[in-house]
Amino acid sequence: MPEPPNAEQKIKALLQSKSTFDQGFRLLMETYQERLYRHIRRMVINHEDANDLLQDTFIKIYRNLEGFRGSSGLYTWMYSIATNEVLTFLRKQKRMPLQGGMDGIDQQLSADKYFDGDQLQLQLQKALQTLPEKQRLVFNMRYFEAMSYREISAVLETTEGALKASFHHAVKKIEHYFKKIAV
Amino acid sequence: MKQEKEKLNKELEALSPLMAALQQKGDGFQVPEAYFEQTTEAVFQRLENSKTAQRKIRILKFRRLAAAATVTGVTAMALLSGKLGSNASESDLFPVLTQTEIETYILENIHDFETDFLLESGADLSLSADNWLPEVDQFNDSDSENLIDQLIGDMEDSDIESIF
Repeated sequence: MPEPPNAEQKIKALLQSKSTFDQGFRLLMETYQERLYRHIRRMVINHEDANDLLQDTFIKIYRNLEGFRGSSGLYTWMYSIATNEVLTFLRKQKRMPLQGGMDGIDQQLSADKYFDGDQLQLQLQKALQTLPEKQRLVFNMRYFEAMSYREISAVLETTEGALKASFHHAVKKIEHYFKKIAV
Repeated sequence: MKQEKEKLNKELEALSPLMAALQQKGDGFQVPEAYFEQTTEAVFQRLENSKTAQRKIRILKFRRLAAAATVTGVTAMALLSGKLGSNASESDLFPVLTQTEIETYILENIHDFETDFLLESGADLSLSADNWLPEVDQFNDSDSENLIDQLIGDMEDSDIESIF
């Protein structure tokens, strides 16, 4: 779900000139930061971690914008950087599986003042923790962000067919999780 | 985007009606008030801090390089002057002049040299007395008289008058 072409074009035009570069970057942040934040937050759960990673992502984007050749869309490129930041963070923190397991995520979300989901949403987050991190990424990008398989393919560099299969498996696993806890 | 959302809904309905219904509820995550405005400013502040730090590092690096260059320069000069001052050979000092050329130059310009310097140069340049004076132990009165006569004979009348 990239921004309409005119928004991206406006940002790119501002980024062309040194005198308007910062203005362009500010517009870029205002346009994309909420979606990038949500993408990061769904993976790391905690707001503070998501905040740190979002800032790190934009610092990297700022420093590498001059080298961005535009072979992929600006949005796809930024998404790739954010995803890499998330995966690096998760591996460093050994959050896969989340510390404390299912009880850990339960307690963490129940105590999180920036999570106001109901019981079903809480269970959904718990179910997501059972998925491998790449599958969880695919699920989040398709299920919550309604990204097309083509867009996800550009970010994760995986074939559309493989992504579709991964998403379908994830949906079935989560459905199975809900059926199991309902019994 | 709307089109993609419709495709997703159809896909989910076909896969799992439960998951299709749950999808409408969203993820339940919230953000603090005015979070995104603050984030923009926080990122710009971090970039500014980083630029300031980089400027300081560049200045520090330049100072270190300048100090290193100065030390190298001074060391090189000290080594060079040390070489010329203590271990210099005649060939180091006068690499293109032969011994004969140096002696000829001194004799031709003898009036321009101080006596002390001539004595030192004579020693340095191996202009030992035996080249032009008889040995002291062989120097008797008749030799001295002959030498004085020879020198007086070589002198012009005006030179003799200037002495007296």
